[in-house]
Amino acid sequence: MDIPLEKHKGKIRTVELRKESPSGLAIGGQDCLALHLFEGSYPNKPVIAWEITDTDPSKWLGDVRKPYKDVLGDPVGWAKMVREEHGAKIICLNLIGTDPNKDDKSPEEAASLLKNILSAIDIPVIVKGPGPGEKQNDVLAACAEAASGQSCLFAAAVEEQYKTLVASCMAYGHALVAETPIDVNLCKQLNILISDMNLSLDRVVIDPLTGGLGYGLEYTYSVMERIRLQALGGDEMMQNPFICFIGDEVWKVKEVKADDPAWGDREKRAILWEIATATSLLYSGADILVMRHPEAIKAVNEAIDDLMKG
Amino acid sequence: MNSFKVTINPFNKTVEIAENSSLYDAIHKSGIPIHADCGGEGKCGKCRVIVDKGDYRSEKNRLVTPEDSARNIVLACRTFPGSDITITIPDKTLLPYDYIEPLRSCPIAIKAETIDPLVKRFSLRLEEPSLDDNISDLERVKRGLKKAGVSGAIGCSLATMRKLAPLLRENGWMCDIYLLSADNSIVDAGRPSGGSRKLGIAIDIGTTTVATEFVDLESGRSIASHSLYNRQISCGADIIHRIVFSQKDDGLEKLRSLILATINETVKKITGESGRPREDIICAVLSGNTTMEHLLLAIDPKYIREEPYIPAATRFPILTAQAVGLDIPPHSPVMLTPSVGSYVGGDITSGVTASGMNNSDQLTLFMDIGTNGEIVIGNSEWMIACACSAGPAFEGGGIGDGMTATSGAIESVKIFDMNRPPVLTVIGGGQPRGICGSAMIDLMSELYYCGLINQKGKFNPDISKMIRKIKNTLGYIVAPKERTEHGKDIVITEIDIANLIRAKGAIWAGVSTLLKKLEIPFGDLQRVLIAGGLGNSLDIERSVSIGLLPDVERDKFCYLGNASLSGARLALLSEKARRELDEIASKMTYVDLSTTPGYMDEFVAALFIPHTDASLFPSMSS
Repeated sequence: MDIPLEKHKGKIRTVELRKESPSGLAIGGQDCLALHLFEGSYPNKPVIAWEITDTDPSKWLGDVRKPYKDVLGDPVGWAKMVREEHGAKIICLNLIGTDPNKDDKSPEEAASLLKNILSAIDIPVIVKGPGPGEKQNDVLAACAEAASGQSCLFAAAVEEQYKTLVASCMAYGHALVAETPIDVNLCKQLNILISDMNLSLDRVVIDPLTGGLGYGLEYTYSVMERIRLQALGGDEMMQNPFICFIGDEVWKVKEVKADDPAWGDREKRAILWEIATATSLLYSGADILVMRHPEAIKAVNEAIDDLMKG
Repeated sequence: MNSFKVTINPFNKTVEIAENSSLYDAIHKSGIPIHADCGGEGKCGKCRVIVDKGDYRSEKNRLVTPEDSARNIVLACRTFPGSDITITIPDKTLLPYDYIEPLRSCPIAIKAETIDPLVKRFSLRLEEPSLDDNISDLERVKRGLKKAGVSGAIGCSLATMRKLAPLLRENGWMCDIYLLSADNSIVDAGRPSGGSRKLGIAIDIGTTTVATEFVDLESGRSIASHSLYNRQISCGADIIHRIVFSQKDDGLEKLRSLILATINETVKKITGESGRPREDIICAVLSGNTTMEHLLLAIDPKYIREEPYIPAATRFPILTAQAVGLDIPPHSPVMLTPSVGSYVGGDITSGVTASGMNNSDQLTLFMDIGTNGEIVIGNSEWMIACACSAGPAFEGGGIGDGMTATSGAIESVKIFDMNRPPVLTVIGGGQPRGICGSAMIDLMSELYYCGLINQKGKFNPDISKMIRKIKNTLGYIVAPKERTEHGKDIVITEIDIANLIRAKGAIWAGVSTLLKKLEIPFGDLQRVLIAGGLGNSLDIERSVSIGLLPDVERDKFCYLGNASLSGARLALLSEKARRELDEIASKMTYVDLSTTPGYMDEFVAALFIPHTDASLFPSMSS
């Protein structure tokens, strides 16, 4: 019997990160829905990016601080640890310390840290700024310049603030994350605005925004599927890989924080929450999952390997 | 309970209010019309006033900055006097209410021989009674009318009966009889006029604008027309806020008196300007959306807003001016155009009648671009309508320098040099005072296609000297202060543009959701008719270029202007039109967009110039 297969007109762009390095990565490139290996080609496995921070993440819960207790506040050491001990293929450097309301570290400090990390490890780096505002522009511009030619992924361009980041990424050969609030059309609109500035869309990764499990995840799930269907249907303005920042969403929810014995062991529950959130988003098409806990990452990596066996 | 005196400048008007009443209540009591889009809920920040003297308590509100507080600028609706108090209402808060301008209603010619007015005049010459011919005065008049061709039973108002006997005897058994066509009843009798003609008035009651036109019932000629902002604006900018306001104590009565005040003001202005006395008016046709018609008649509109959205009535009997409260001769019949449902009102049946789409085989899209956007698709066989809330932007509401399409309004804009002021045309030809809908469409299109704004309507500040920082946003100088009537720059800001994009997005989403539901591609439309008080003319090309109108052949388009007013005028003059109004109201099917999946998606997709899906606008890509 012939199984009827869905053939799509469109194909997701391949975004290459740190292509100069032997440990560089390519993201995306598939011409079918998430993990539908039977329907098309899936050249690049989804990957998990290990989240690290430029300064001690004092707000992180104890359960997720514990595995990194020797390297908190030592981002270079942290990067080396996840690379060497855990075999990380990509990391996400979250520059929370540059936030004017936190440590207000200077753009130069951030830039020099990024340089040090890039020389300490050979894998791709996602650089996440402190969030919309003047500071974000300055920090990301300085980092983009410092990492010139190393094709990093910068997060994030938003509708109200995208021009400076697009210009920096064009000038220094980086890719960027285009972030929109869980909406098919807003996602496409930002991609159009970015491509109008002549940044090639094969340097754009979409962040559709998400909540943790139980906090609107299903909404993101269906929006991601719709974006993908439109992309595979041939809409060139949406044919980009997805990134999902999971750690921050999961590790703040009540079910992860609460110490209620009736809900079972808290640490285990928290890890499972991160796993469940990540796996769901994997099914809806995530190409990069930014995560925190080593055990959760290990479990989801195993799931990816299994699912990609076909 | 204590009460306080509130003196309101620059009017030097003093009102007394009870303790715990707000300055907003005081202003309402004074009758001075102000902006208050949210209807006094502390949400819109429009009702700013300056306290000159006196104690007061102001609730904290995020729309009032510390600088405002330092200058004693407060929100009237959140501020309560603690003593007698003197306040000043700044210009920006005041609702401009003395704009008068002939409006263009759509060019529908009625042939003189087909005129069959709502109230028809019969000049009778009756035989003097005698012992042999001793029927009553009224029967004599009826006999005269039958001789003049009136068939069927004839009724008569009590007021007429009371004046009949002396009238006939004083005028040698000659008189003018005014007969209401709907039920052959005599509504008035008068001395033989010798040709002086009676007038009808057509009134369009918009949520934002009220337009009134005097029409000669015998020639069909328009004598004069005026338009004013609907004074109910001080109780909320859109119908939802008005309905909410109507639920407050005396709210319904207040709204009724405000709309009557607005209409009566237009009538007064026209009688003053045209030299035609009020007594010449013999009937009126009013056309408004369902909520406006309810409020005019003080019928509680509460359930229009609550699921399943049921109006109290969609058809109204012919009433008298006295019952309605119109300041015209009390016995004059007043007709309200019938509505279809809660959100497709008499203004739409009226507009459709004026457009003639109900008599055409062609598949027609009718769009009424107002505070409530209504969309009708169909032809002589069928019609389907929907409504969407577009907001008052295209009528000048919610736009810093926006105004209704009257004298002093910039009506078209062309940018020749990005670093110099654009070339403008102004209604009335004088110096500009604000921007009306048609010019806003021009501006969006020009700004976008010159690269001054991006597809989201955000300014590109580096490329033009005309883009300046204005308060916390950016704005484009449309007319520099040296060239304006009030000596202040006329600007369009990013916030204004965002409002306009939302308005056009809502209308587009209505059109596109309805067409998708009916599985009609845009290309199948044979005619696209646009109604609304946007201005004297509408640039179709530019309206398409911003994604307000679909990208179909340009010769399919026709701009009708205020079609609701035109329909009301037709109803004054033509029996056929009055019949059609009724037929259209029965025939039209209403689709509720709020329960239609996909509307929100269509809306967000349309918040882009021209649209997120560029393939819908093929002619714009070249």
